[in-house]
Amino acid sequence: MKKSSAVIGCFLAGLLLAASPFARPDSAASINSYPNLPAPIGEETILFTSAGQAPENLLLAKMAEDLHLEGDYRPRALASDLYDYRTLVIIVGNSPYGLQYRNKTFTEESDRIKQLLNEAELREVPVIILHVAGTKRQDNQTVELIETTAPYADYFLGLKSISSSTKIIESMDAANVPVTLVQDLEDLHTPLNSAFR
Amino acid sequence: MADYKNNTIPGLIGFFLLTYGLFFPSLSAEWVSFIIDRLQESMEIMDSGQLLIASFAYISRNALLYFLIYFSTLLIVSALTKNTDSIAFSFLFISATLTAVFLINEFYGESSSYAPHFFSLGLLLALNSYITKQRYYYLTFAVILFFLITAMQCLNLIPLLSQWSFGADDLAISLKTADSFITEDQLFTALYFVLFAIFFLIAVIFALLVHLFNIQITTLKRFQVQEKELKETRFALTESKVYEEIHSLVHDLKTPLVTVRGLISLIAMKYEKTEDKKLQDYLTRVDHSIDKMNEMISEILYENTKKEIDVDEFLRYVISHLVLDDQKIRLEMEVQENLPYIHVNKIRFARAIANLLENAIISFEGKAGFIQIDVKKVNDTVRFQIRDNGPGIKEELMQEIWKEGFSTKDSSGLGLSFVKRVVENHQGTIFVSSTPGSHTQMDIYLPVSSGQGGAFYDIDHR
Repeated sequence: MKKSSAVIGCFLAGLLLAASPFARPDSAASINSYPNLPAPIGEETILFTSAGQAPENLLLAKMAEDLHLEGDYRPRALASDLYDYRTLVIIVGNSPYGLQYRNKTFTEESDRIKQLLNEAELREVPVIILHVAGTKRQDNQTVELIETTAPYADYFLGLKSISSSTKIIESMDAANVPVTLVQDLEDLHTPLNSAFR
Repeated sequence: MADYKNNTIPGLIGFFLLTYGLFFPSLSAEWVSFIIDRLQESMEIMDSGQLLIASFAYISRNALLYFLIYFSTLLIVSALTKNTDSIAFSFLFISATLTAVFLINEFYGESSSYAPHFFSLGLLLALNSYITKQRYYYLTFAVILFFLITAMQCLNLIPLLSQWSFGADDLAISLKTADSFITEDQLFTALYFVLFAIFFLIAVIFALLVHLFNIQITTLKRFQVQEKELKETRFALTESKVYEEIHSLVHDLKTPLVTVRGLISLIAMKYEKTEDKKLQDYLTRVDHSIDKMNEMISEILYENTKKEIDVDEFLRYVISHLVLDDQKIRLEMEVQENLPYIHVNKIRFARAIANLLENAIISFEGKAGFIQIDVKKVNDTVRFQIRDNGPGIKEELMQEIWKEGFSTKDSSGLGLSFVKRVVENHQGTIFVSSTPGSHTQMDIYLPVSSGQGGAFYDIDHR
């Protein structure tokens, strides 16, 4: 066996692993997605919160500010905080470092979201789910959080790149949630706005 | 012992670095908090400057983390395999590094993708093949590793490569999403492609420069060896010419000697009937001297011309040639009684013994000392032992003293090489032992009968 076989082996293994995401089946064809909602489903004031505490979830607050939506971004909001709000918007993205930053465990975070969703159901508050990291954040825990929120969701907003994730699409499809997938983050403004106006 | 140390120390350092590397994600919690703070601030105020600070902090942290992992596994594996240029080393290095990366992923969820690590390992092993025979191997490897790991961390932040499994770790995803939101992927794509190219090229150029420098040093060393060989050949040639000239000179002595002998015979015939007893005696002595001179010339000219000689008579002949005036040296001689005759080329063997004695005398440099000559029968040999209490021979020179041209006194350097050759020509053996600052002892063993013994020499440095 030649010395170069180790080098060649590394490059081949690297190429195979790097190309493996392209081998996944694309479920884009089976999605019944909307460009935006035909009529608003939510009302202001809005409680914006994060599920999974990914640092990038903060961009939801910035989008709300750009759209002049009346509401608060409270990443650690509890069920008891919902009384003052008429719509719940959850941005999903689990981050181990984000949870560590907020001194939380995934179980605590998952329980908080479940309680918040139960409270929203009790109060008949519409729930909108966002997923903004696309294919980059499709780990098991993020998918688990999406699956938790799907039965309570009234609208799902995400990036087109997640269409290759069968699990996310299937869970939304099973709960009959209208889905809007956009190309870029910037494009999220229009469907989010249409959910309220 | 040295080999043991050479492998154990890097192995221990590697083990220490690996332990530190495995705990590094926990130890760098504040670093991570800093990155998240800057990242969130960048999104709050839509400031790409804060995002850059966060991304630089991310690259520094990850570069340090994976530098520790890769370098520590290299040290451990090189200590285990003892050869960084073998296939076993390559596969062990790959396995050890991926195991360490797997442990970090399992404990901290650092990165779910192994593709970048396979590429990094492939590139590292490719560059490693150019630096394995380097004197400062670990330092060179560390420099290349630093640039290569930094380059690979730059790739982790290029949004286009996300779909190729680059930058799949938690912080990279957050940074890339923030960049996508603030600059629509333009900042990271442009900046980190350029930075990757710079760091990667530095790593490659550095490895090639080290390789070229190594080739240059090897060539230089080869030239030095060739130059030394050339010098030795020139010296041997000069020596051979000198011997040739001496040989022909000595040979030329024979002609006038024959003439002298003829004339002496004529004189003897002319004064055959004279009653001058003194004249008869002088003529006989001259004739004997001519015989002796003829014999000596034969011994000088023909190495294998040997004769039986009494040891006492031989030593007297040797001592008579020594110049001991103005020296504060005590010469002690002890010769065992009833020693058998030795079968030697008197002139050459006497010159060899005289060389050893002269070396001893010169070593005193005018100071007081003693030289002992002890001759006795040892088994089937006669042992000539010459011991002096001079400054001795340094340990590092013990291997050199037999080489032609070696000298510490700016002499021709033919002394000991000549002695060795003469002893070997007599089927004898020579040993030297010396303690610097104490003594030097030369032992020559000469077989009693010419058929015995083998030619060899040895060094015993006490």
